[in-house]
Amino acid sequence: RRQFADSASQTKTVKFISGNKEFIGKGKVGDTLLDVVVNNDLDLDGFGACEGTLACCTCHVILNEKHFEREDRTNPAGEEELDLLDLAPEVSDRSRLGCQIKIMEDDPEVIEVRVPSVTKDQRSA
Amino acid sequence: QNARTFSNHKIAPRIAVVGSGPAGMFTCTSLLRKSPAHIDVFEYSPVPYGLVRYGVAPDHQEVKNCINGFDKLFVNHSDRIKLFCNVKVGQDVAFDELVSNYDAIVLAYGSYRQRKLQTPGDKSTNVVSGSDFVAWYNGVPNSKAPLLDNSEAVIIGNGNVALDCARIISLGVLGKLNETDVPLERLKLLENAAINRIKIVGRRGPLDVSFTIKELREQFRVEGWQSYIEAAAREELEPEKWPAGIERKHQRLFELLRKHVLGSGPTDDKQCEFLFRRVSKEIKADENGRVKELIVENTRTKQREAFPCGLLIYCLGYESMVLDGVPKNDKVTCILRKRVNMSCFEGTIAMSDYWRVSMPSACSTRVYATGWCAHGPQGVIVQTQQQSAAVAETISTDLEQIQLQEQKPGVADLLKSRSVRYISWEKWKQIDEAEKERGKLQGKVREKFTAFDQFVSDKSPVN
Ligand SMILES: Cc1cc2nc3c(=O)[nH]c(=O)nc-3n(C[C@H](O)[C@H](O)[C@H](O)COP(=O)(O)OP(=O)(O)OC[C@H]3O[C@@H](n4cnc5c(N)ncnc54)[C@H](O)[C@@H]3O)c2cc1C
Ligand code: FES
Repeated sequence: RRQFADSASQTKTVKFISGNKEFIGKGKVGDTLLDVVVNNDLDLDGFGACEGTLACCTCHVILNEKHFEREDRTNPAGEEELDLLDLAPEVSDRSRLGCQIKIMEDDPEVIEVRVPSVTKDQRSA
Repeated sequence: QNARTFSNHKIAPRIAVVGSGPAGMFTCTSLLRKSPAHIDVFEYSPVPYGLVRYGVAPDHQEVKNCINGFDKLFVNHSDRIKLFCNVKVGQDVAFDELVSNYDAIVLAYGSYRQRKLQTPGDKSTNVVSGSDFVAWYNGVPNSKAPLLDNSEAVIIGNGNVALDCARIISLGVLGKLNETDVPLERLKLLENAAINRIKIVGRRGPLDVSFTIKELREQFRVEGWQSYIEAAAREELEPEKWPAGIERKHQRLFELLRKHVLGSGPTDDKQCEFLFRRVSKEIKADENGRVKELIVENTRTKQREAFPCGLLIYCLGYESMVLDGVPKNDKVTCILRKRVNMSCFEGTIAMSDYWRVSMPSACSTRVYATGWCAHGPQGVIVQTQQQSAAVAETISTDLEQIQLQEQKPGVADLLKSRSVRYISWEKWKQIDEAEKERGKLQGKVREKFTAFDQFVSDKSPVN
């Protein structure tokens, strides 16, 4: 039990990369990436519009290969999440919803995820 | 917060935002963080938040959670952002007046006008647009109640609004919307509706639908209704007919459609059928002028078919429109030609790039546009949110580069002098609380007001 308490209070850093900007926040094991954005008041306005209820996909993140693989093994995207990801602009094979991704004990100390944003390319879209 | 780090000797810019839907509010969210600006938000409706309140379906309450974030802006930044509901730009205050009283303007007024059906007989009673039907069940003041006393309904269109209409009827007649925010008297009409057959009719094929998978799945999942794709679409939905190299989202959508092609005969007594390749030809009315039949041409068989119905809802998408006084682009480019139904094309806002409205060079006020009024009435909140974050970034960078000479006054005094009875954010909160309280008594999330006279009838402006 004690061990559990320790790991739950373990803090990790999450780096959100959007375009050429980085937003850095801290979170505990068990926190979702959305929790990290909210609790650290990160400058990713509009992220998590439905407050983590799987209804909006504004919390879309792209994981790196290893991270995605870890998540896919232990916490794969369900049908609802996949349905929402189908709406996400700039979706990738490693896309997930930030409100469904929790910081895990075996994550590295610094977790990096990408947050897609509107670019000039969308002008002609 | 970042805004505090802005140098003090600069005059804070004053920004007008036209429209309080997601486009306007997400732009404000970012602007309040990125710039020291003072913002006035103008909203035509008596209450804020646009299609989040009056478009998003009542069984999608979670989508409406974004309202919490919007409300918080007015609490956390009460000195820098003001809400003026019940104010129509173009009528109560002109666009030009905004131009002369603000340093920057953000157009975020959406596009609420729906494309017309333009089929002979479309004036028959109970032929309604999807947006009118949506407005009705969402409690928009003064919306006309549809007649729901006939067992057959036809919905024309293959986008999400068509699905929303079908699903709300399906759930409504089963009494499954009782805890939502559909106003009671409208809920009763839905619950007592006689409808037990819905046909969703598209003019193109099953691979051309604009449904999103979540909404489509929801229809298939409504218990008590058998929802299915007509058997005649089976062949077209075979994987070898799918275009090569399609994205995952299309693959998943086509798979779902294919899975629901009708196999054996219908089972449930309530049915919702998806029919494709039917072009509307004529609407026939009974002796009282009420719709009784939709005549279509089946482009697969080249045969005419008649679909009996007592309610016809058409969901053909929304039109772009340009507010009076806003620079307009009515030259039709190739891209536009593909995008819009030419018969009702009234031009689009003239943009000089993705964010900026192309204003005369003498004009020192910067004008921007975002959301459905700028980039077309398509997509869901996530696209609107991303566009708005991008426009806010541009605005704050632009404004930082200019040294403002004087504090702009805004138009609050002007509105008062004209006795425009606007509803402030504080007043909205009273309405909001009252609605939730009324809802609680009925076991509902909210009981919306459908008239606001009691809130705007004061002689003096409501503050
Ligand atoms: C029926 C329907 C259902 C939808 N369901 C969903 C859903 O479940 N999930 C999802 O993510 N997205 C959904 N969407 C999409 C979503 O609503 C839009 O992406 C979003 O609302 C667009 O935001 P906007 O601010 O550009 O427009 P709007 O939300 O339309 O806001 C524009 C605002 O401007 C105001 N306005 C207009 N003219 C004036 C004027 N002259 N002066 C002052 N104010 C003015 C309007 O009253 C309105 O409040 C739905 C859309 C519709 C039509
Ligand atoms: S916050 Fe809306 S889906 Fe994750």
